[in-house]
Amino acid sequence: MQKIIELKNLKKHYPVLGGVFRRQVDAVKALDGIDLDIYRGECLGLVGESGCGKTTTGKAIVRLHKPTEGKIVFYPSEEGTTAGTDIAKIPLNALKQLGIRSKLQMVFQDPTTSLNPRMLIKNIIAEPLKAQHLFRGRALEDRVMELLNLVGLTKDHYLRYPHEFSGGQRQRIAVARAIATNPDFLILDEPTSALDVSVQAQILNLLHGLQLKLNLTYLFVTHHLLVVKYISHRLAVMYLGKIVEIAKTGDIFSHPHHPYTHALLSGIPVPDVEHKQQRIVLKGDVPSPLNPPPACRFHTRCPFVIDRCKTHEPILEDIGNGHRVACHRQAEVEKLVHDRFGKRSSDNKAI
Amino acid sequence: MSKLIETIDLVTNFYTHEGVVKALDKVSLCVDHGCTFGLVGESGCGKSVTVRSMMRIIQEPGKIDGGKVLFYPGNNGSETAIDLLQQSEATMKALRGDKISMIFQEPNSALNPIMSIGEQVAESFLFHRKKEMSQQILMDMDASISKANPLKSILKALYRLAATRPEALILKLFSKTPLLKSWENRLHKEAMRRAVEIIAKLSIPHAQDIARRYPHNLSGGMKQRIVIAIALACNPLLLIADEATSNLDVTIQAQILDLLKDLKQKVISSVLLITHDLGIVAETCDRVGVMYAGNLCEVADVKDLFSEPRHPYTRALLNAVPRFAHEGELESIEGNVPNLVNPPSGCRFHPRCRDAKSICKDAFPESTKVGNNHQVACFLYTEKSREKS
Repeated sequence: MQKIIELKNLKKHYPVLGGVFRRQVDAVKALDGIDLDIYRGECLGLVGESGCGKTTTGKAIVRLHKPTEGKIVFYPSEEGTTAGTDIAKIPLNALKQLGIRSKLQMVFQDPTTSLNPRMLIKNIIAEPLKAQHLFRGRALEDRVMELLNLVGLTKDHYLRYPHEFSGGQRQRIAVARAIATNPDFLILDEPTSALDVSVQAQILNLLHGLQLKLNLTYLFVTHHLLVVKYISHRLAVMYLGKIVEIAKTGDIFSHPHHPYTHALLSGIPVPDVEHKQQRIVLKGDVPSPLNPPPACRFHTRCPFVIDRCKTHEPILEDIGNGHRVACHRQAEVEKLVHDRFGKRSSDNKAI
Repeated sequence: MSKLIETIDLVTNFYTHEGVVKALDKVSLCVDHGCTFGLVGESGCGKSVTVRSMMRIIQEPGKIDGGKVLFYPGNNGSETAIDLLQQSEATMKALRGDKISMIFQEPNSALNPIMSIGEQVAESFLFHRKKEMSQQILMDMDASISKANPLKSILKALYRLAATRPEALILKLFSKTPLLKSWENRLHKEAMRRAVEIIAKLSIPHAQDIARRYPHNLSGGMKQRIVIAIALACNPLLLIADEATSNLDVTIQAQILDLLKDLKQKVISSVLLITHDLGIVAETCDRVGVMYAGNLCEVADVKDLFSEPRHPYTRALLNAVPRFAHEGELESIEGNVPNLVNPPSGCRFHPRCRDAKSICKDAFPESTKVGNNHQVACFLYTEKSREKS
């Protein structure tokens, strides 16, 4: 498979200023060394709790902020003949001149705040096209109309303002804006978390359809594991600025190897009455990214902690079939969970 | 089981500039003693308005225009019912936080940022338990071995008055005057002691220390626990949890749900849980009500609702929820939630309903009984029952 984006030891530290001279006294380590390959045509789900650095990863890839350290390599061609460009350090206008800007787009979390309330829908969708000088005049109008049809809206919606639409329709407009420039790679930052259940299903189906139709690659950032299950091929689980597990979606659900993934999976309430399951309840809260725990960052809340976890940091190692885990006890976790908490929910295929 | 609280044909409207928003249209539901009742629905369907109408805390453009809210504080039978909508504001104040209490949606905005955690929890004791606490203080004073002095005897007289008539005018006067208001010190101390006790009960470590802190020092999950502590302070008969976990992370949500389940067994008798997550309902509730656009469309026991959903909306909602074992495309409900200024005529779900008939457009379906404790408001079932009879 072709790589499209490759993250190498990506770090983003937000400075904390203090003292009389407002010097940097500390840093919030939002991303602390992430390695991630994203392949062309796939949908990679990025899951974790709030504050673990999911959105920061997405924003770093589209260069909404400058990463502190590391590389973001973008491979533009479909054949994979040319070498990739490192977009972590190059200036923003170069990004536009090289035509990379139009290939990487983003859909934001809350459609009510991501659309300008004083702009017409046609202007909102046409804005990226104008900025990239891709279309003009009548052709621009036709393109906007085509995009509206693609996301399931009609030409009645062309001359309206965002407040006239419901949440689901607004998210459709945001998607239309993101796919306007014919991107290769789309970052979806919690696209459904502000929506209701019935509308959420509409948007998920729309995104899935668009991916097949336009041959897009997605990075789907979300905190809800079940939502991402529908659409993603691979899943990466993050905890406090690090990736702790990455595997094919099916493998994560059937054979998770990291205790945190186990806890996340068992924490989802299942809409089924027959289903009685022992839940893994983690003690305490997510530690502050200002002072993340040393060694394994999960050791303060892990139910299976051993001494080694407090002194040595586990590396993300491959355990076959593209399944990578960062845990010292990954080989025995499944048995440990089974012994202490009983049968796991996803064993129960009947539901 | 005996009834605890019941609403009959509750109607609430909001008078806005764009017109009258008919937020609740004849909602009738009933929560029994010892039952966990779940109220589900999408945003804007009137879940929160229902419970706020029950507590009579609807804000300005809103008005309760009809119906009854019957509350049965006694444990046996309906002879002691009081209609909360007819009560004076003073009685409602005494009830709120004492007999009925509520956990609000967002812990960030529910807590006062300039009061310490302990003070905020102690507030409900000072408000509802003045009598009881004064009596206890009197007993403590009698038991103490220090010598009697005139100041102490005045204090004693004040507490004796507080123990019998806590709303006496002279006490209010004392509390408002500088220097003299220090008579309440012991009361505050006692309330604080109780507050720390209840905080510790909710498995929060270092309760003493936490009580002295301010909301911004705590994490989201911790704040939600404090809000629960405030709600539970006076051992309420009914605890209303309005989206208590929807802003929390999965692992923290698991903690809070565990805590609520635990408390349900030990302390509180009934819980009215408002949520949009059907998973939470399936795990914690005994009975469920499904709401759509200001109507209650289905009420049933949890098992019946999930195994045999009757109303087309309930069925569609259950199909739209992502599940572990499900493969392929999600089923979605076409269209959008209607604007309640101009709700659809007849059954409010008919524009999105797959089984809609001509009658659905014209008439409002009455809630009919299908099976054991199962009520549906849909013409699919009223006609069937008519044919049978």
